[in-house]
Amino acid sequence: MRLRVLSLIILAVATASAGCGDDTPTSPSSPTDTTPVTVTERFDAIVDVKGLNSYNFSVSRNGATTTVNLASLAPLNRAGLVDVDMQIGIGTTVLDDSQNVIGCELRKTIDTRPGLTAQLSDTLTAATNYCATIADIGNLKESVNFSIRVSHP
Amino acid sequence: MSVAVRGARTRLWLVCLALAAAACGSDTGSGTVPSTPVTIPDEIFSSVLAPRGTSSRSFTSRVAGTISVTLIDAGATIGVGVGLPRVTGGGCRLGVAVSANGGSTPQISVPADEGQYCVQVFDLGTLTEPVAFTLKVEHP
Repeated sequence: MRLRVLSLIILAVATASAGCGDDTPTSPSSPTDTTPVTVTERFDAIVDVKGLNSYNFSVSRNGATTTVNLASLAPLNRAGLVDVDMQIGIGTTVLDDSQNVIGCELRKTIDTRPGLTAQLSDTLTAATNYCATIADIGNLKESVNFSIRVSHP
Repeated sequence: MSVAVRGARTRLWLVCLALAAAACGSDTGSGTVPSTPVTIPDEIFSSVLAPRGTSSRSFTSRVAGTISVTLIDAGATIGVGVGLPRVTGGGCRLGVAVSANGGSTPQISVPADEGQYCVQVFDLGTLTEPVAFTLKVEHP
């Protein structure tokens, strides 16, 4: 009788173990991260009257969106905002025979005032020779500080 | 087999089944509890603005959304703006700015990408003595 009871308990426990689900996923063992990684680079400098500034950046993935944001335009020696249109652009770098960057061949531009969301976007292929620009289109009366944010994969 | 033994066996089976059911963990563990949205409290910024001076404070918007700034109280008309914190040193590089002298509705309400921002008040060139101010910043 004792042996039968013991057998029943062992059988029940075995049944319970078989019936319980496994909390650990078996396939895949590690989840695949499909979230695209976007990097935001910031460029701060001074742009002069009728001047143009250019900054290089790389894109690591084909077909992803790159955005440019003219986030700030401010006087050099006092607080406040310079609320005028500037031209911002995206292009590819121009190299001389020694492979020095000597310019930016623009593929897309927009005239915009500063703001806190991206004003320009473009879909780019993976490459290391992109550039973002800011240029005075005749509205500046003096040199100003600017901040540009470039978000790209 | 006697009736008593059969009854005991049946009860034993029932106990074993109950134990088996209790032993099974629920698939709806703590990992599936819906996450509660994070509520960012309003940021209150009070200080004193000197003639020809500025005063600023940084904050982070973790997602894109609307940044609202309310200059609640000020002793004079002053400039208020939102921009990016300076990379070196203190201060703020403004992307949006207005002049205001206090009120209960936001003087600035502007869409913004996620990122670090700052709010700044500044003398418009009209202050002859320091003025106290209080402002509220709401952001995602």
